[in-house]
Amino acid sequence: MASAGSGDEKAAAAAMITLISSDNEKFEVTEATATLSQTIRHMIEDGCTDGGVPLPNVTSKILARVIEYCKKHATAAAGEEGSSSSFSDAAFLEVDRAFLEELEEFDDAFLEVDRATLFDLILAANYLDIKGLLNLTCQKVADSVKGKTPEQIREMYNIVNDLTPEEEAEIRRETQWAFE
Amino acid sequence: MDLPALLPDNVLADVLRRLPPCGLAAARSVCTAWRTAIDDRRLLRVDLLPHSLAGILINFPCTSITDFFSRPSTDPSISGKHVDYLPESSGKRSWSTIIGHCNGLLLLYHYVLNPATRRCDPLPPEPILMETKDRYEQWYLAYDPTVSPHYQVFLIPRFHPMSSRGDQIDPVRERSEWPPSPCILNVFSSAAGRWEERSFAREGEPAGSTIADMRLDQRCCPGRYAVCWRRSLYVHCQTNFVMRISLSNDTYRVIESPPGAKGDRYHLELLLGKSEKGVYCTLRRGDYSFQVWLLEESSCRTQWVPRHEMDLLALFLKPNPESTRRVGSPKQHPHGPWILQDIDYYYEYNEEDYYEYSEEDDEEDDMGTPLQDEELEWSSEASDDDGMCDCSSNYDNNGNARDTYDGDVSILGFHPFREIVFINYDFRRGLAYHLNTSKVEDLGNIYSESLDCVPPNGMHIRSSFPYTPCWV
Repeated sequence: MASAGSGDEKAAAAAMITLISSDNEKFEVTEATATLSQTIRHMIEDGCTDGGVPLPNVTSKILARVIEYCKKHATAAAGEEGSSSSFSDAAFLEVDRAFLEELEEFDDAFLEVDRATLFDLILAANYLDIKGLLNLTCQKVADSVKGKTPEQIREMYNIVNDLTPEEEAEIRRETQWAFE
Repeated sequence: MDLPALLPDNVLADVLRRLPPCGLAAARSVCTAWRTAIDDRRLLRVDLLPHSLAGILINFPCTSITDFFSRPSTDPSISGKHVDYLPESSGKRSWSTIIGHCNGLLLLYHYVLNPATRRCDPLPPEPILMETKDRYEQWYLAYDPTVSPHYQVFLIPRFHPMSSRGDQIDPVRERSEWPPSPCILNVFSSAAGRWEERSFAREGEPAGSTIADMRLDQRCCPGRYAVCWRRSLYVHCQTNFVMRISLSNDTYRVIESPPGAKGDRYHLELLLGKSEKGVYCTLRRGDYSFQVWLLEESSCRTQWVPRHEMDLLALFLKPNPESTRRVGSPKQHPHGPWILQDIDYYYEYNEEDYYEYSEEDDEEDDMGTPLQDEELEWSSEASDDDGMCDCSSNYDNNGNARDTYDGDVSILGFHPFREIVFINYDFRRGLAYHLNTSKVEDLGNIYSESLDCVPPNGMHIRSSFPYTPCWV
């Protein structure tokens, strides 16, 4: 990418990349969509995407969702870049706000998944290094924990309490203010 | 299946770092993996939270700048000199009176400040009210950094006395219940960045009072305070009831005043505060005697329970040469462990000297006592002859001794974490009264030079706020 001139960039944007899920399903995506993933961006930069990018850690079900996310956000990013040069400031802000609102709605709807899928999305976002998606999914988990007691959190995520009663008592003593 | 266990350490930490301190404290006690994730990265910074008392902010009569009575600190950030970092633009002097404090944030008209971090948020102009003639609004701050980084400013309506100018009074309105349900309040939310009109539905019994009743209670000193406790804001209202406003679900509850605090025409001096076990109040029963009440709350009932009777006359009459000598005039005992910065005086009369003074103060502790962290602990364990005097024993010849005492006593506030009441002794000494032992600690001189020009009948502390710095 670093070596690509302005003429090549257009061609690069239209170039298609093939992603291969762990269950061997192939997904054709534009480079603009694929490069939201830093992991894939680096592979493209290193020129090792011929014949498709195998993603042994991501199932087709999850990869389809991840691509859905990347497509939307790649379009939004492209739209923003395009608009910045062709609109007056006020009009640009207006368009910008509309974009952001639409994107927020998309994100909210995107997160309407069961817990197992949410964690799979986190793992995929972490592996593929997609900052926006990782941010979104981690925040969702944090929100689900916020305001809950340790017992409620354990129950929600089937976590086994491996702290000794002494350790638990000590934690409570250290942060008594939080348990009032 | 334990889903979070699938996450790599750095991702688990990325989830947990999004929790407010309260959430992190709960998460630490979920399992060892979570505790390790939090502790290894120091995600929970208890040291930044407002869990220590730095001093007391005091609004003396006839001053425009709030003063600060505190242990001398080598840290320049914890001081009452907010004027130094307020924006230059809008005439510092006129708005440097602090009108509220909550967990390290200070409220001024149109500003919210954090003296520790030097954060200064201007507030947008408050909404203009339709019925401004016979009422005004008192401003209160609600902030709990352990739960959320956002704060709220509540405007609580107060009613002026019946107009003597013969303004038209609407008898129907006068007889209407206050507070009504729903009660409409103007609230500034820092999360939304704007004022909002919010509707609070009442839970439980009405106060049984009317707007006309509110007008009968016009006491202004000490101020009517609010306490932020367990996601509710407790606001001391006219006629001495407390309005407990929920910060999570837009409801409120009326908490009756302690027995005897509410009369037909005369309401006892009540002062609301937060201390070790929650919400407390003091009730003045005489010139030198106060009752201390603790608010006990359970799911089924909320009630004030008596906690202590403070008889301060006993303190001053006790034939203990140590105590009578210590509680003396400022000339005799210019300093104690605490000092009054006397900010207003220095700005008013002696600005150059003030800056010299403050720089020196920032550099080193000029009280001659080296300051160490351990010394900042309360000296309640200290021996009697170390500034402590016993107030628990009864005096027998109070008639005779009464003549020797001519001072005035008022409450400055509660220690937020210890059962201690701070007392203004006749504008001379600041005292700390320990409820558990009935012992009194002499903190130091609180005579502000600016009081020289205040007439005797105007000698009232307008308001005072125990200040807990917050570094978040």
